[in-house]
Amino acid sequence: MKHAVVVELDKCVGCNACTAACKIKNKTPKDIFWRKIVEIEHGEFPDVKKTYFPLMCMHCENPECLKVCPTGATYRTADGIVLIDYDKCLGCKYCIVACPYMERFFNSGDDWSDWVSEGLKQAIPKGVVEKCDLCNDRVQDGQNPLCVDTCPYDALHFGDMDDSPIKHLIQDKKAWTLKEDDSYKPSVYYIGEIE
Amino acid sequence: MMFQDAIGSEGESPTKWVKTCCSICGHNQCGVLVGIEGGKVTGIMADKDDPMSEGSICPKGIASIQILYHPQRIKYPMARDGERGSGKWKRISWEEALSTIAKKLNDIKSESGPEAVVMARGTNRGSWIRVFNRFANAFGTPNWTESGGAQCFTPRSISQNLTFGGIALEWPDPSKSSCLLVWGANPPATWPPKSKKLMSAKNGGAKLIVIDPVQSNIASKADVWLPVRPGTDVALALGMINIIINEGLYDQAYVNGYCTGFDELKKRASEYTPEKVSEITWVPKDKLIQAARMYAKNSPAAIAISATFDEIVDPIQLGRAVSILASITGNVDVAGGNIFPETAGQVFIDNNDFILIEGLPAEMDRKRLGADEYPLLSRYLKVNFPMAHYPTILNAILTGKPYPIRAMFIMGGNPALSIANSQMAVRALKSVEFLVVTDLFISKTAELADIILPASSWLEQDGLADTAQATYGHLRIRQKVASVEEAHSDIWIMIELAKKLGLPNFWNSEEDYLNYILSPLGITFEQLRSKGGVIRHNPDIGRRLKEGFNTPSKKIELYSGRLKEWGYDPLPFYTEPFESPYSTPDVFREYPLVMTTGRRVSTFFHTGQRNIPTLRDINPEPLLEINPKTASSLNISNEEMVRVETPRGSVILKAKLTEGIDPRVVGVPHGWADEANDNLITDNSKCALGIGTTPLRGGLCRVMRLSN
Ligand code: SF4
Ligand code: SF4
Repeated sequence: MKHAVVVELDKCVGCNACTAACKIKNKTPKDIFWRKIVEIEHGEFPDVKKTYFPLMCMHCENPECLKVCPTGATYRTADGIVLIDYDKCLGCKYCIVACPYMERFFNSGDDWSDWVSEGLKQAIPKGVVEKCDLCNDRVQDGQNPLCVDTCPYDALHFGDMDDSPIKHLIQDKKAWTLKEDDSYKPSVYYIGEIE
Repeated sequence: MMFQDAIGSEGESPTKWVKTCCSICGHNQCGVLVGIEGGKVTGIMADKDDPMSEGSICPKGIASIQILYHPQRIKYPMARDGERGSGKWKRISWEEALSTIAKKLNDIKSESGPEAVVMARGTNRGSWIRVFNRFANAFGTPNWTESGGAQCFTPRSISQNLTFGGIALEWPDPSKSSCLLVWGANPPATWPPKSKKLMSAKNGGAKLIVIDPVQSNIASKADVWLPVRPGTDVALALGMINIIINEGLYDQAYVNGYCTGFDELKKRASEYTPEKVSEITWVPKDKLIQAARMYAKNSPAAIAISATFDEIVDPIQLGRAVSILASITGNVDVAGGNIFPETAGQVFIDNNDFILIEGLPAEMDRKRLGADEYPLLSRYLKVNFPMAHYPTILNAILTGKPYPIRAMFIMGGNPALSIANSQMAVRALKSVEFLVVTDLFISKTAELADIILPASSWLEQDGLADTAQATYGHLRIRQKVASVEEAHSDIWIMIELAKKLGLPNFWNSEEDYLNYILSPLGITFEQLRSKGGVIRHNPDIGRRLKEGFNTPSKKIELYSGRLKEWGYDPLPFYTEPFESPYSTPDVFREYPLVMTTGRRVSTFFHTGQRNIPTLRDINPEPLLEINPKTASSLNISNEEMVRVETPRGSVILKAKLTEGIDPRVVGVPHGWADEANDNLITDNSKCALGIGTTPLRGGLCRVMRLSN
């Protein structure tokens, strides 16, 4: 069993519903986004093509972050989710440097104070590195990650690489990954061209 | 519902999910599920089973949990405890607040007449805006208005009603469309349910044409994107009509059967040759022709529009021209084209009866501010409720002419930021003798009030989600899941104030009001709640084709006899923006860029939500969209702070370099406060013919680096 996410770029309109859902669920502080939408432009006016490109932790099969973690705080579950044990994390930030996708964030707690409200209590302790956990709590419950369930446009898919419709989606629609030529083997796939 | 523990699942206790409808933006009313745990709202997500929104939601809906529990919420009525605008407040009781307001309004009424009281509405915050009109009429003042007013919905409703007796452009029916034409709207940011329908059709193979000066979210998906020069849309529409007629691409049988005035239209449209239109609109001729052919040849085709239709120099003509475009191609009242809103709830009630229109004496009706100059807004076609004209009201406050305005009651509105010419709006708000503002937070407008009343959000209300504009006729209920101190719904506030004033024909409670709205259906609110809270609607498509359209001729009036009778041109025509490279070449020499104000993002509705952490985090800054060529000629780099100046004033924004905009055009965002407030640079000195719209698209500006 290996979990994967598939993003259909043609369907993503950049509405940021997924971003908001993620931030609210995980109570991430100001400037920390476990997922975000990046705008990519190709060409010149008026022949320009804009793509909304969702980015998140790639949950690599060969995670660079895991290799450099001195405490074993970063680990990979049997079903392919890369997680951080916040109790073990020292906040040394080696993983932030190592992550080829820049998807790890140090929670200094500094920008937090004036944003606090009752509906927004910080969940992750201050002074550790945090990132997307693929909604492991939901996944263990048999549900999809929240971004996938939130996307109104069905641009996001989640499933088991070994045995689910996304396996076929990846094959049939020639899905690709970021930094494909390296050995990281990310679990987040993209469908569609950006040029 | 399998949403147990979907969000906020740290604890063991199961989350209870309540079905309700969001109303941050008021018009979409997406069906949502609200998770409750230990008495607290812990999560909000889209309801995929909702017949209207089908799983759509936007960041504002999701982040409403932070609106509910925000530490800055106004929690109880407050009276100012110092100078106006001093920021000093004291808590008062509802009893004291309502009695004080009622006494003051009654005093003014007896001393200066009811017309000295202005009732000004902002957004629909879950309540039906018409309750406010009803209140104004019952109190006796003709001076009811909306921040939207002549700037949103009214012009496009009037123009569509004149043409085909309904507002079919509001309801594209994409599921069966072969072509989608999105005009001056960015549904992924502002109309998620419509956006989902459009994108599903597009992904299913329908063609997509988008008209927008900026490559918006939806324009990025278009087969053809027409980056029109801001404010020149009427010429574009007439150019498309001309091409379609010339190439014989119109639906002859439909035109013969259901339209009048085709020959006159043909003659008028012939003035708008592709060359001329391309010159006016800056849209390349080949793209214009391609779009016209694509729309006409792929039937049925559906058009989606939005507030751009109400924010240009001649909104009536744009609404007319695009209604005509849809009509001559046979796309009105047909499946897959544009269909007529008919809805449960509100629309079972006769609107004019509901607002007690007959109760307002004729001499008061004559006193309505702006009605003489802008009779299309207030007088001729009573489909949209006669309303006073906001800029004329501000002028009356400041000059005392034609008569003094002494009090303003503002509900859910923030005119200090939201209407053109903020400098004037703020002067007026400061100088009006008595100002009451209801809101969730102390807005720039509320800061200036004598009394602030705490309003509730959608999570704190029972209500009906049934606006005609966007709900495709499905009636759903909103359910109260939380409360915040002494905050109350707008409806509750109007009812209680009406009681204090002794106004007749109001209700005893919110529940009475909801039951009254539902009475034509023979059901009470509680009965509806117990039956699941949803009444589905099947649109009655093609009824007008059989029974005739709701116009004097019973046909679609390409040539409008009524407009002619009232002294206007019966056929659409193009007007150059009041300020533009061509109409004011002198200004253009000093201010060489064309500007469109009013750019929106999905995280904010108008002036709201800049204080909601998650939403602000996603869009932290007001961005000026500017082409890299223009930026480099001005020595401006990406993310640099810039000043945008017009003859009215200046704003400070952050440059966002994008190839998705013409080098001759810049896009200014709407709704930010202080030095980023776009209405510091807009103009309300000249308004659209007959309807009074202040043009917000197509003025001139110059841009410079902030630091040198
Ligand atoms: S919710 Fe879907 S469409 Fe919206 S930004 Fe996220 S992935 Fe894209
Ligand atoms: S569009 Fe957003 S704010 Fe409007 S009703 Fe839907 S979720 Fe709420």
